[in-house]
Parts: sequence; C-alpha cells; structure tokens
Amino acid sequence: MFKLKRDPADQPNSWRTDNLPAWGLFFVSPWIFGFVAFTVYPFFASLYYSFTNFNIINLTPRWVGLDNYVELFTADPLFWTSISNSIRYAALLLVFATIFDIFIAYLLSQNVKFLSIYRTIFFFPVLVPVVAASLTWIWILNPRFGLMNGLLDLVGIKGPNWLASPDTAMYSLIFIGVWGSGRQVIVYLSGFNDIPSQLYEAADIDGASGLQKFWRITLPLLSPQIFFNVVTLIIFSLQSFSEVYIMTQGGPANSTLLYAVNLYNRAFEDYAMGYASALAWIMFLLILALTLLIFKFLSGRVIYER
Amino acid sequence: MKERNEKHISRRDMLKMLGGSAAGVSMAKIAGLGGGAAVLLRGMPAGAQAKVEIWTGFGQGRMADAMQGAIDNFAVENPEFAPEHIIVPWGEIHDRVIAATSAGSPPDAYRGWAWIVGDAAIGALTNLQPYVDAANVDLMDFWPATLNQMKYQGDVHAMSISTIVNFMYYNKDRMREGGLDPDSPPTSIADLEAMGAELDEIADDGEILRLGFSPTLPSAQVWDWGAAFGSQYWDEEEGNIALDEEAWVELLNWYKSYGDRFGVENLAAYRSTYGGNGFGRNSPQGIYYTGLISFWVIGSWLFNDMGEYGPDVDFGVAPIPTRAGVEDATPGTSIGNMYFVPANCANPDGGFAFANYMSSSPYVAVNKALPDSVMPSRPSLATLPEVEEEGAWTVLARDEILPNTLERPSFPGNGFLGRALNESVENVMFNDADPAEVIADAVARSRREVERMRG
Repeated sequence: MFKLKRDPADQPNSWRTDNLPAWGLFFVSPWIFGFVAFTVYPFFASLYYSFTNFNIINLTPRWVGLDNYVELFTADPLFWTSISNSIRYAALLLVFATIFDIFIAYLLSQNVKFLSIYRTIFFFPVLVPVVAASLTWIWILNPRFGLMNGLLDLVGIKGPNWLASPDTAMYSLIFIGVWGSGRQVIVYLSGFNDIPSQLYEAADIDGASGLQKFWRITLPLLSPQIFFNVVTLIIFSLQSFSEVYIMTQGGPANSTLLYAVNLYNRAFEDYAMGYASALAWIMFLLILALTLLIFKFLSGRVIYER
Repeated sequence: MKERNEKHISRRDMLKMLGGSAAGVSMAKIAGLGGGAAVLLRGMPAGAQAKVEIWTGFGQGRMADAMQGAIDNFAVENPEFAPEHIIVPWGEIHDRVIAATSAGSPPDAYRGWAWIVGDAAIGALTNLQPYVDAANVDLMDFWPATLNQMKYQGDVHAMSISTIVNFMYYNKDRMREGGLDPDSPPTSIADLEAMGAELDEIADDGEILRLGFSPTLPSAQVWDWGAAFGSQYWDEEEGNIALDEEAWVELLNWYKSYGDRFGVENLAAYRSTYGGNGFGRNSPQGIYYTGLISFWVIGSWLFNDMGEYGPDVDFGVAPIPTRAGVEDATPGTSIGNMYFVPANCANPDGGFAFANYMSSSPYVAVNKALPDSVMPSRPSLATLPEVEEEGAWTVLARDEILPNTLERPSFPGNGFLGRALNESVENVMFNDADPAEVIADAVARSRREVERMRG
C-alpha cells in the first residue's frame, strides 16, 4: 500500500514517502477500525440477531425468522405502550421546545446589558452531566420538599406529584427536556443574527406590525434553523433514555416507559438480545421514515438565503 | 528544502508520531478500564498460589469489613489460593459479570442472589454439581427452600452463604402512642389492616403525615405478599410459571383498596418523598427510624441497621401475616444469598473453593452472615451458640419462618415475572385495570419469556 525509502545520499536521517495519502490512511486506521468494529459491524449484526433467539452468553443464536417481529406487533403490550409514549414525548417536546427556544433566542438576540451572561445561563443546562441534572430534578420535583412545589405553595397552589404520578410524569419529563434544549437556542440565535436588519427597516417604512414582521420576515428566514432543529430534536427525543431511566425507570404504571427504556429492559435486564435487536430495528425504521417525511414536507418550505 | 519537508518524514518525527500513537492507545485503554467503578482492594503475592478473583459489592462500612475478614481467613485456611477482592456496585455487579462472561474474562466467583441461578438457562454459570460431588458437600445440610434455589434442572449452580427471610417489622413506640399493645403484633392480615389504620396520621387535605401500614411501602413486595396470599410461582412438573391467579386477583384488589383508602396520589407522594436512598436505610432520618411508618415488610438484613441508625427505636419483628383460611399461604418468601462461579472463568476450582468456603465456614457464619443480619444457609451453622446469642430474630427466622417459607423462585425469566407483577399492581392502582385481566396477561407474557430463555 505504501513504502518507505531511505535516501542515504542527502537524507541520512529521514524516511521518504511515495504516497502521503497512504500515510494518512495509516494514521486514521485506528478510527476506521473502531468505526467498522463498533458501528458498522454491530449495525448489520443486530439486523441478523433480530431474526434470532439470542442471549448475550450463548454465541450461537437460533434462527426464528420473523417471530420476534410478529410477537412485537401482536403479543407485546409494552411495545405499543412504549412506542405511543415515545411519540407523545417527541411530539410535545418538539412543539414546546421549538416555541420556547425561538422565544428565548429572540430575547437573547436583543442588544441588552449582560447579554453574554444571559446566553450562558440558557446554554448552561447543556453542559451539566445528565446524571447530575436528573438527580437535581428529582429533588426539585419532590412533591413534599421540592423547590417547585415550595414555590407553588407560596402562591397558594398545591403542587402535583410531578414524577410520581402517571398524570404528570410525562409532562415533567417534557418540561425538563425543554429546560435542557440550550443547544437549539444557540442555533436559533445564530439564525436571528443572520437576518439582515435592512429587511426590518424596510418593513417599518412600509408600516408592518410586529406580528407581520415575525410572520413575513423572521419565521421564513429562520426556517433553515427550524428545519435543522426539528429533524435533530425528533431523532434525539425518540432515542431519549438516560434522564428517563434515572428519574422514573419508565414508571409510574409505565406512563413514562419510552421506547429506549423498554429496549434497554429487554436487552440488559432480560438478555433477550434478539428481541431487543428487533425493537432497535423498528425504532431505526420509524426514525428513518419520520425523517424522510419531514424532508419531503418541510424541505421545500425552507428558505435559504442567497 | 520545501520538497524535502513535504515528501520526507524525519526519523525523529516518525518516532514522535509512533510514540504519540502508542501513548494515545495506552490512554484509551486506561480510560476504558478506568471507566468502571471496580476497585482492586487487595492482592496476594502470586508465587505458587493460584489467583481467585472475587467480585462483591461490599464496599464500605460494617459489611465491607466483615467481607474482607472472611476473605483474609480464606487465604489463611487455603494457602494454595491467592484471593483478589474486587468491589463492584451492587446495582451493576450482575450486568458486569454477564458482560465479562460474554467477553471470556469473568471473575472466578461473585456474590449474588438466588434469582441469578436462572442464568444457568443461558449458559452463564458453571455447573457446580461435579465439584459438589467431588468435595462430598452435604447438600442435606441446607434449608430445603435454599437448596431448591441453588439448583437448576437438578444440578447445583450456586453455593449459598446465607438466606434472607422477610419479617414484618413493627414500631413499638408508635403502637404505644396509638394505644395498642406493643407486645401483640398483628398475626393476620385483618389485624394488620386494623392496627395500621389506628396509626395512620392524615391531614385534612388527605396528605399522609405518618403511615400505619400500606402494602405498597417501602415497596410492593410482590413475591412476599403473593406467597402470603397463597400463590405459588413455579410448576416443577410442567417446568413453567404457574401462579394462583385467584389469589392474585384477591391480592391486587387488596393493593387497590389501599389506593382507594388513602388516595393513590397521596400514597405516591409519600413514597416519592421518602423513597430516596432506599427510604433512608443508612441514615438516622430514614423512615424506619423516625416513626414515619409503623408496620412494614422487608428482609432480615434491616435488623442490624435498625440498631445502628435507630438505636433508640423500640421495635420488634414477627412473621408476615397470611391470608386467613388459605392452606398454602406462607409467611413471605426467602432469598438465598449466593456465590456463583461464572462459566468460562479462569479458575473454576478456586472459584468453587471460595464459594464452598463461604457456604460452609463457621467463621463466615459468625463473622459475616450474622453482622449482615441474615441466617446461615446451613442448619448446622444456624444452630451455633453464637447465632442464638445474636438476638431473638435469629430464632424466629430459623425456627418459625425458614421451615415454612416459600423460596423466591430462581427459574429463568423470574426477573421478567417480577417486573410484570409490579406493573400489574401499578396498573390496578393507578389505571383501575381489571385485576383478572392484568394478572392473566402478566402470566402469559412471563411464560413466553421462560420459553425464550430456554432457547
């Protein structure tokens, strides 16, 4: 593939390369190896395992054809519970996070004092490790001693059970998800900063109201950022696991049993790796389909600045 | 010069790059290894000794000291082995062993619980029967329930050090405050309900201030209450799960009656508020030590914690009350604390030697099992004078509960069934689901899981 030649005439202490790209390949080969071994191979192996009965110990999976998929769709109520929970979680998080993030990014794009401090505050949740954040939220949302219900109590409201009730647990997780969406805020902020101010000046001259400026200028020119955030947020929210597993483990009464939590239980509590692989492939196909749908219906409406 | 720089890499640069790559690989490897929480505690000089790698979760406090003492004593009594004790958090130990077994580098022995015997179905455990036969281990010297748990398909796959029985704990101070006789704890479920109700303290808005009794706290204890209501879990002849579904319908309605009485949201709030850190098991502020609950069901292992964290609490223990008029009802379930030898470990002989030592040594029974407030699994050790001197709980556990208890089943898929039963309780309490339907569904799904695990 490549060779090193010693050139004793004028380069007594050096090596000569005939093929620098080969050297490049050599030095990235650890990454290539890792990518193939830990991403490409598991990707295709899991497809194979999804058609088998496979536990992690016995390395000779037994071929069961479509049995895992048939059982998923016809005899596993938790599959439907978890898929319904995940779609609800992703949809509500998408709506609330998008509205909240655009609003916050708009505020952060204004020219006010201490702007960098405000920006830091809203980005800070992204930097907090998910375990630390989750444990903190468990305390904040404690029904008796938590900060949240303490504040509500000050204004005469008896706070709910938040994470401990099937009626509120999912909304609590969505609330926490919105709190942690600082990364999207940064993307929207960059979008706001890219909108030429002349457009607003021209709109002012034409007598446009604030709402008209938002609908006719801001939103269309922010559409590339909205499109990007919608796609990434849907993918990430459908894969949400850590915070849910730490805070509720899918309870109470499976009200927060998200798809990834169910998959984890099947794979690492029950060691039903074949079944869990089938679950993983359903999720992969669902995310792929949703992403393609979003591209089909939204990409044509995105306005890119020329 | 320019051409030379582009086409040639000096030997020094070459060495630098190779050195950098080697350092990077080394750091990555170290990072990977360091990612775990395992801590090497003690290594013995190798020499002619064979290393025995032992994983437990006894990382700190009274139990850790006792564990290290037991290992040190093993090294003295078995000079041919050099034990290495590696501490792994309890919550991770089983997953890590499974991963290590899959990778071909498991420990030689590790500490777990009876339900892990079900792993034999997936080939994760060494069959210890040949070792037991070769060592002439007296299997009759185990509590029958514990011996059942040690076996999978008739062969021993674990050696039990001790057996957890579950008690009904009662707070005598709270009973006195409520005008009850502290020396007459409830003996039937009807008594328990009535006495618990006497000690409830409820605010006007329904908020629970102090709880007399609820079967959902500290946890639903589905295995124990199922046994107390007369249900079995496993049909040996059929080789599959077999619950008494009628008993379970009664039980689920019983759970639901507590949700209806207190308000399921009030119960959930109480549980959520005080449930952190195992309900404060290792804190003087825990619910057991502060009178926030008066009657509760939990393992014997809490007994010595009560003395340590709530020394001023006057409490007692009694058998779990059973459903009246049901012949098969037993005072809860028992769970064997086991030592396992994973499949394909480096030193199965050493692993078995250690497991057998932990299960048979009087030193361990007195200095490890009793400080953990669990009963030695061998009647011969449970009748040592030191056991009776430990306190009244040992006699109660040994003479009244262990002979009558139902073993917590160790069949493959028992973890799935446990989850399904807990889901059933929550679905009935929170979602008003039909008890007969949810239990039938839980059983059907769990039986399917057993079939899957068998391959």
